[in-house]
Amino acid sequence: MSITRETIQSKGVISIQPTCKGCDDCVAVCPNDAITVKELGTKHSIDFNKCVNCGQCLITCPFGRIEDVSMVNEVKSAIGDPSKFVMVQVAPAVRASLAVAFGQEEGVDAEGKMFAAMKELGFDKVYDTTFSADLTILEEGHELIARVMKSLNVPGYEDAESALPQFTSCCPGWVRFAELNFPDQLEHLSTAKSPMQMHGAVIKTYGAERLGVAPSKVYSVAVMPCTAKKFECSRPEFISSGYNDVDAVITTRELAQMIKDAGIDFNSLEEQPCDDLMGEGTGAGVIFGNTGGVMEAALRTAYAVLSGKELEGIEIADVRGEQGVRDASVTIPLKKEFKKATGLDSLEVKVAIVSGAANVKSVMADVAAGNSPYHFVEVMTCPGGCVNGGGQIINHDIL
Amino acid sequence: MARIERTIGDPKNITRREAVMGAGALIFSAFCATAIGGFAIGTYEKVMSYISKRIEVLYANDRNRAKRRSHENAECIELYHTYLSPGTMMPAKTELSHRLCHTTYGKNVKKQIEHLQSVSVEHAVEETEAQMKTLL
Repeated sequence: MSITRETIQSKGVISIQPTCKGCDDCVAVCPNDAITVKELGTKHSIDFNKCVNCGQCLITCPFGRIEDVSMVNEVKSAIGDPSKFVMVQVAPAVRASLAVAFGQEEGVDAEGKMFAAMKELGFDKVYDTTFSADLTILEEGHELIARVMKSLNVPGYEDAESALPQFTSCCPGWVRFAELNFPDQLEHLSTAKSPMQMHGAVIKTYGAERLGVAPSKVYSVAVMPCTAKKFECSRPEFISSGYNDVDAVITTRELAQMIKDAGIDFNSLEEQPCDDLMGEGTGAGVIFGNTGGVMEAALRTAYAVLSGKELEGIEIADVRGEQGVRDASVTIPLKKEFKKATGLDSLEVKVAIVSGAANVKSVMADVAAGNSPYHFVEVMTCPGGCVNGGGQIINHDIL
Repeated sequence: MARIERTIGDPKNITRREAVMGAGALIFSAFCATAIGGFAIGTYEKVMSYISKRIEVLYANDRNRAKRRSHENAECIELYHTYLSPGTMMPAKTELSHRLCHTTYGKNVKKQIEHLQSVSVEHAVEETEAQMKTLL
């Protein structure tokens, strides 16, 4: 069942089918109490005004009675249209789940076969959202440094945002959760777009120019582990390129189905890399799919920018883990120019990581009261991060 | 004939047999609850372990890459040098960075849409070039 972007904005992404058995499993995992239950054992329904489109209900339903809207037909149509130049990006988390749709065990990295399959599907260019994850770190990391410098009254940062802690804004479920529940705290959200949206805007401007393609002919697709990304891509403000920066989002499940529909033997594919220009990604970008991954990536770069040196050991174990709320502190020795500007030898950067949007409430309570100890907070709506997103291959063991 | 007291404390009104049966039932129930509870928690952990497996896929993917820090991304550096902040790498500073990589929320969205619809990308490119003349 195809859907238009306007309909997504007015009706949301997720719906519970009339065949719902009323078992309440979905109610338990909804982060925003968006599932209304009239009486015990009756069909449930989703309240659009509370739903953040995360799809946790969908992947939890033991009977598969919850659906997300589909843009697959639009994507297939664009691929088949010779006048359209279809460019696709794939999120880090997709490669951590895709192989299960083709009979593999959980825990297989399908990266190479994933890119190969997408080239076979007929996309004109295949990119890795890991590229724009790195771009996001560069933009968001500098935004954070600016907010911190401003808070220390360092001259030259007057134009920076003021609100600390800064919260990540790459998770569209979290952004909607924040808009619905904390409308007066939105200045804490990083102004940086999500990697997907940055990638879309760059694809239709820089990308189109470098490739010699008219931007009007570009059709921009994103494969995501996430159902909320369908809501995000249809937001009316994401038109920086002069067009829809991302025209359509398909989930990991939908990609698997497209591969099967095309008769591609996934497991026999030769591994391939993605295309150049907007495809290179570092390890920091790849871990965006994990809870704590965005934070770790940001700290690896913030450390380098502020100290002029690289963080020894690269990995930051303190931000890893699966507990709902975790915190850590990283002491960054300041390089000469920051030492002079701040009057400090080092900066103790305090961070928090929230896994599962409902867990953000205690952190936000401190923010509203003005006594949050943190500089930077990462929030992911789905427990465990995007690897456990509402768009991933459903793990049948949980049914 | 008066009832002869045979106990020291208050009579509990249960027989010895009943007390032994009751204790046995309690112990058996505790055993079953622990076994079932352990099974339930064990099942839950096994079922949710798929998340840990997926998380490890991405950490391993990171470890296997030659470049592990965002500021080492050559294509990002190229994007800044040739487009977003021409001539150098200056994130989050220019009009193009702002337009393509940043957004706004809540009440500010309406104005943002109007701005994006009325000002072209070409104009943002020109503004960026002008900014770089003063920044460099």
